[in-house]
Amino acid sequence: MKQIKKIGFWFLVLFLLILICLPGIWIFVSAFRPNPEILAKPANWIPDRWTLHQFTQMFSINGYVSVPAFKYLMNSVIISSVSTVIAITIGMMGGYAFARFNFKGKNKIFLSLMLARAVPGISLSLPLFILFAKVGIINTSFGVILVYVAMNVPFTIWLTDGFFRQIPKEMSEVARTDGCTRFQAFWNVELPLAGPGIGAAAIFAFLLSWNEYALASILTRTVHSKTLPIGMMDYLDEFTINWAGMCAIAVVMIIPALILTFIVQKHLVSGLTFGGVKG
Amino acid sequence: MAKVELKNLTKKYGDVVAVQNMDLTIPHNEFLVLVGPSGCGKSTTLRMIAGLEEISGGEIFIGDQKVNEKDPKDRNVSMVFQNYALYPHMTVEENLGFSLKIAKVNPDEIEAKVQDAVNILGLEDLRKRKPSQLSGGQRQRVAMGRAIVRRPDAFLFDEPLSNLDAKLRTQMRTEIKKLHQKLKTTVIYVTHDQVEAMTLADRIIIMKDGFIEQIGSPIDVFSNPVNVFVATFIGSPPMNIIECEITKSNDQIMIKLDNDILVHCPKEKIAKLADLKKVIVGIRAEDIVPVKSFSNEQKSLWAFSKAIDLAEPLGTETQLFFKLQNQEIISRMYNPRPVDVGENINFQIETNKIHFFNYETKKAI
Amino acid sequence: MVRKIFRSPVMLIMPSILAIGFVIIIPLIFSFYTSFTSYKLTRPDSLFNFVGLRNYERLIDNAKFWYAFGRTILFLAVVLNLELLFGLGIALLINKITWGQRTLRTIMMFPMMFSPILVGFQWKYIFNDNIGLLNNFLYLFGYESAIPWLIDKYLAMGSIMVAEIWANTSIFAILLLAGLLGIPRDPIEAARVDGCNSWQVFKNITLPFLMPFVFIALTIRSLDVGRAYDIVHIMTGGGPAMRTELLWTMIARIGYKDANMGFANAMSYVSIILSIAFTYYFFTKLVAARRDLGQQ
Repeated sequence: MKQIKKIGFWFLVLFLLILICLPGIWIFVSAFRPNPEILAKPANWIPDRWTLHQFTQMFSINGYVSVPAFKYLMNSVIISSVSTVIAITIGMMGGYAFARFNFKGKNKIFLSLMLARAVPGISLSLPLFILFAKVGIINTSFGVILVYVAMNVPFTIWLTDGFFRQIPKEMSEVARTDGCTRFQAFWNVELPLAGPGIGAAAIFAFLLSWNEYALASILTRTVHSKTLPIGMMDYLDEFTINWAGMCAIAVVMIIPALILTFIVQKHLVSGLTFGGVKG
Repeated sequence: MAKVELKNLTKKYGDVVAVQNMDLTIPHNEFLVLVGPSGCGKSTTLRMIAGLEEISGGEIFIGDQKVNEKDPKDRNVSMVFQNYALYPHMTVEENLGFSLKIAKVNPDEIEAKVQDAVNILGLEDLRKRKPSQLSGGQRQRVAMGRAIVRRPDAFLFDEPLSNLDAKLRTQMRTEIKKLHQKLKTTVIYVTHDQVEAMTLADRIIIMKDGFIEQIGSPIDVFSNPVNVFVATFIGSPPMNIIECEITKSNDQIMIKLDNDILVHCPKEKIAKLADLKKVIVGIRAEDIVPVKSFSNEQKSLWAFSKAIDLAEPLGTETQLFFKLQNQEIISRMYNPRPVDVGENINFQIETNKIHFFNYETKKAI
Repeated sequence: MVRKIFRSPVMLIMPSILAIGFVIIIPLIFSFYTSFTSYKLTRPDSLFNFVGLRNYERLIDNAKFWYAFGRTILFLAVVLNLELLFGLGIALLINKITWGQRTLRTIMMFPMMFSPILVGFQWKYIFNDNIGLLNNFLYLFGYESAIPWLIDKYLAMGSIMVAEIWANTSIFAILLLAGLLGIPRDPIEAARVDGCNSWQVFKNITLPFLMPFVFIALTIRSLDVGRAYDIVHIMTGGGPAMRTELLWTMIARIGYKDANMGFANAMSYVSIILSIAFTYYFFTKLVAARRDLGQQ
């Protein structure tokens, strides 16, 4: 009886693993298969032929560019990095204020910031589209960066607030009695201690920008500012889809995200669970 | 209400043995205290009785039933945990009534039993509070109340007082003692504090490294420790231990207490000590009595004078520290007067209060 | 300068408020205004054509809107509940594993890395009636007629839900696992001695301890429900015959395809209030659950 239970248990775990991993693996495999093989009927389960065709085309290695993936990649990297740096700087200051100061309406302000984050991207895109067009920052990296900063700030506050709270107040108080100003105490003591957590928050912000679609699809129009998620749609025509190409660009998108999430995972959970609640 | 019996009980974690072949019968209504240093297996034993720890070998009986395979819920014991283990999301009365609710006791009866426990422990004003709104002592009381309401076959206490401050600890100790007298149940109580053990127990078990060192009444283990470990573990301050050489001169057996202090071996021990080269002498602090001058009939007494290293006045007594064979010795002076460091004091020891232990086996002679 | 900022919480929060004010609050005020006009992108002067509550009245009279609204609520209810349930199941499962737990936890976070647009594409690929993994797999077992997962009017919604659940269950699983690992051992042991069987321990002790984590997960999750737009957009685009039209896809269609901004903005407000209501509700529940456990 116990044996059967144990086997059932591991069977369940295995099933779960397949369910979680298989879709991603299938995309990965398809990215290296020629299109005809993907379209084969009945299905060709084990790839006969591996090819880098989609990647060489994407990155114009043989001179011909189907989709300017390299440009999209660069846009994505720049937009995500810059917006992350700004959002973390701003958000960290906010998180520090919530963790270390008591002021009137603290909880209300905190909640309002979170609620601002809850506004769905597509709903926000309508007025942003009009306003950005009027101000003249539509289809610019600057515009998208601005939006991503605002989108990332509330969540960064939530996370960093939690991390600063985990550092005993006495740490900074000792530093201040030792002659530091509040900023010096922050800079020399609290920031290094909260470092890993802030790193996690940064990666989280980066991923949000990296993966965002709804707003970018409206605010970017050309190769000049399109990011990878938008560029992906280049493979999608009204009636046909270049499956292999789409899988290939998906791989380009997922690999950096995979690596970053790997680094962040430990701190992410502790940040989310301790942050943001003051009863 | 039942006796608890352990037969050959063993617990192993991999190769590490936590409890070794323990045999024990705890009669109904006994207050039994398991005491020992941390890691001695006392908590493990308790948790095996509760069913929280699997048994590696041997048997446990509660009442006449073998409970080895039973879940904790079916053993009808209740346990008070070191950090109370109150349910934080329930009020005091919900905490108290929880086990009854689980047992599907009808609400009126639950209310009656909870009220009973509330009365016994004086929790009336706290009924609606949550654990987070209680002080340490109050939490402790609720934890005990939770155990009481079930009227279990046995109460298990796992270091219940160690999180309280000293004053509260003394107070709660008295309450636990009274509670036991009122409820007349078997109690198995684990502690590392020998004072708790002495004051509470009908019977004490001293454990070390998974073995029982000694079982006996508090007075018994105090006055007749079976080995050096028990001797030093029970009693405060711990018993003075001196490793001495035995010398023979002029047909007399002498014990070398210090370089220049030779004393006669007590008559009744001569037969046992004659063939030994070394012996461990144990003397309780209160048996090393400071005297103004030596009395005349010193035949039954050991006497010497010694310079004091340190004197600690405690009010009712002053503890005097000096060295014999390079080991720190404490003496209690019951009629305190100011003592200077370096002052020579005369001490005498009644020979029938001296404990002798075998140098190799550390066992009492 | 920096010193001064660090002395005052107001100065510290100000940049955050400015950023959010500029990118979120001002546009929202602007769109609130346009929801009272007949603004069409193609006719800029219509921005000042004030029509009062007409857009909202049209909304109330619009059956398609109510279908989309109802479908969105249903979608969220089904998806959030199932994610919670599966997440809890997975967390309990992994909690039991002692060997390789860390690796498994990392693998479990896998779907969190996927952009919603990627999730949509991936499942569009899997559910494709012709070359999709699923139909090819069923083919092996003799189902030779291809099942039109994304084309059938009933199956399409279910397929989208599968994608959404795949993508977001891990948030619940990971947070609930953190909750499980953080539960003190003593109350559970006390409950076992108090007479609880495994199910009663779970119901009376484990679950109350997990509640804050459930609501943390729901709060975080509710911030991002709007991202389901990405998934639907790529998988079905709201089709077939609007059977998978959610509020968000409808906003995009009316706002950008039909260029009817005023009307779309009115609809946006409904969706914004919906999201905020979800977040607010779960957040207050979270605070209550923590208070219940006597935390802070």
